[in-house]
Amino acid sequence: MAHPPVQNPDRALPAGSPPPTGTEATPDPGVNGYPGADGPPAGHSRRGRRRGASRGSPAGSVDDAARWRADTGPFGDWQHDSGAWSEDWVSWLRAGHRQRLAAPGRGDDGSAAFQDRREGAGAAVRDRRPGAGSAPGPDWREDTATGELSATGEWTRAGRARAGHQVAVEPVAPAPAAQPPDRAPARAVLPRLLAGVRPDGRSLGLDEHLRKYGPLPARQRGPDERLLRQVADSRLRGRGGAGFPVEAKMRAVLAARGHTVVVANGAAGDPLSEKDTFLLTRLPHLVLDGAQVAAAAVDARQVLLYVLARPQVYGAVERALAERHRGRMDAVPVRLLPAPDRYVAGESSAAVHHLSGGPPLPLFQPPHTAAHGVKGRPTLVQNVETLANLGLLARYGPDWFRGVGTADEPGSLVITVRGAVPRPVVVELPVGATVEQALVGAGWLTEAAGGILVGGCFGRWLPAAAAPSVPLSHAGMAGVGGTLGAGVVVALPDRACGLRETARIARYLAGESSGQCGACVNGLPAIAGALTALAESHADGPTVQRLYRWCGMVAGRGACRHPDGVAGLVASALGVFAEDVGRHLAGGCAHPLPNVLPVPAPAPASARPPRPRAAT
Amino acid sequence: MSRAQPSSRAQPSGRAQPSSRLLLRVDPISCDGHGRCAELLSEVISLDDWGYPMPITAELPPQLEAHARRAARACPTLAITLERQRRRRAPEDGPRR
Repeated sequence: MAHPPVQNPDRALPAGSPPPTGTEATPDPGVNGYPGADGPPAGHSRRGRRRGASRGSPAGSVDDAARWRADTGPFGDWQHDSGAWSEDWVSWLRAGHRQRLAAPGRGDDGSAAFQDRREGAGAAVRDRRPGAGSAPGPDWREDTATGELSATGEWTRAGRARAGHQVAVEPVAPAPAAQPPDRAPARAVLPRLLAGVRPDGRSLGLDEHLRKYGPLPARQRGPDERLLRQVADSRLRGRGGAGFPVEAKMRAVLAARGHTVVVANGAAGDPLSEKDTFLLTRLPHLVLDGAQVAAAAVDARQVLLYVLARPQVYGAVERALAERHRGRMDAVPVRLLPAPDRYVAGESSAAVHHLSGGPPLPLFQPPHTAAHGVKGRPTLVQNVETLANLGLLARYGPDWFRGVGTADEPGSLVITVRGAVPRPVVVELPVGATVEQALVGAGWLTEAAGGILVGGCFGRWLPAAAAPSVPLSHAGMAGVGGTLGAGVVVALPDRACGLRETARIARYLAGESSGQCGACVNGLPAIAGALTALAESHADGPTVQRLYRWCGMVAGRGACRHPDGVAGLVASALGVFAEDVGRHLAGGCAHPLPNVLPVPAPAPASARPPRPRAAT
Repeated sequence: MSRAQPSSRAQPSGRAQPSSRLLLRVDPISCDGHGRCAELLSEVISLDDWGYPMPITAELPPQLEAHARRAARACPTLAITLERQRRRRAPEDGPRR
């Protein structure tokens, strides 16, 4: 099933000039610029302050140094999607500085078309947001301001434990739990999941977590119908990539017989995505709260935490669990189990297979894991971001939850933005925010982009000129033949060759195949080999034809979606980098920069699991 | 692990109804690419470049049901599953190994 290649009118998306500095054309003197392509000026805080006292911030004293700091993690830079910060960006963009987006020597036509598209998409996104009128500024950006203020102010305030480990609830960024239910839900604020991320990069402790988000509502005995209704009303969809409605999954689990199990899947092995690792290391209690909520909804007897066996991630979760154990936070017992650091180990049936005592390899479905999961029990497998959303949903209710996002897909997305951006970040954006907003969240581009990869290793390339206007939602991505995948936006620098990078990803993914299905075992190495030959400019026309044919041939023919992902990625690369395909066929390549994407080298054949024989 | 339904369920009346078509699925994990199914059921199953079956449709026309059962039986790895579209007992579809 070949994906429709998106034709690319102008390949390169210009990087534009650096953002406005504090002195230049900035309406708000409290907002600094942030480093452009050349990095921060010496002596200046690396990350710019985004809001100052001039906005009437009670927490204006919380300054750059407290807010941001150099990070020790592997993914150093992070950031809430600050509304004010991007607001300034967007207003700057809208205020007639657009021509700066055009690269020098580029015609006006291209840039104008790009702007028009972007404006149109932006308007469409805004209109779908409840309460958004035709005002020039989108409302969530302003809303974020309040949310972030309390987020920063919260750190300086000392909350007191009420009794035992129950901590007094202060009215915090999201809707306060103490609010009467008949009142209108509090205004939607955007850094909602990431509101509690500590600026110093450590994970949020239990006390701070409870101060920040409030206590979890008491659970009922048996399946919690009220909770299920809340989940249904929120229209929350899974954030692991497939976007399956959470409530439907819960109902399927409840419909099956037996003691149910909840699996918190924190084993997403996509090397381009950092969001799961980020959530588990920074906000483990939010994820663990969500696991308890999910367990309450489906009346589970056990929660299994399936977490990548990387010391940093595993250790953070281990510490959080010990803290919760001391505080008797978990009504349902939680077991922490390591997941091997392999790509397919994060697939839900592979997780279930591994947790049942088998190898971490996907299973042939049906029976689905919902009915027949860990050791034959009905099993609810949810991604950690989904669980974090559940943790907030149980606190603040579905009306609050729907306060951001589109009507069909409410809520927010945690997006990893990397590549040719000044600061690779994990941002939280409303569903339906455009790729441009994600890039703006990372400081736009350091140089002209040749293509945007959305969705991670299993994502799709989008042409750089058209990508910024594409909304980050399942519907929006489906509209351009893409996928939301693991919530990744990668800007490929124009100096790097998209075909070569895609070939690297394809080789990596071919090596990560579990080696079970014929289409994957034979097809992926064939695709990766042909693409590598093309990228190294010793392929001929029939090779490209074979690539297309094989991409159509392997899609949908595995037990899991591994071959589909590779096929979609490669087919989209052939479409988006069509010019380069021609150039490579002629024996040349115009993009010298090698190895841009942080994709590991393919696993050696000896490290791959032997293909297991069918046991029955 | 062939889940070929017993032929007693394939009543002539059910065969005529389009709602109770026989569904053919190939378990890609079990399949080793022996290619016998493509010999016995070439109307529905073709082989890819590496000799693994590619069913062009899951729904079998009624006149091919007998051939499909033969192909399912002939599969050395028992990778072919045949089942009625309208399933009676969804959860108890045999224990998953």
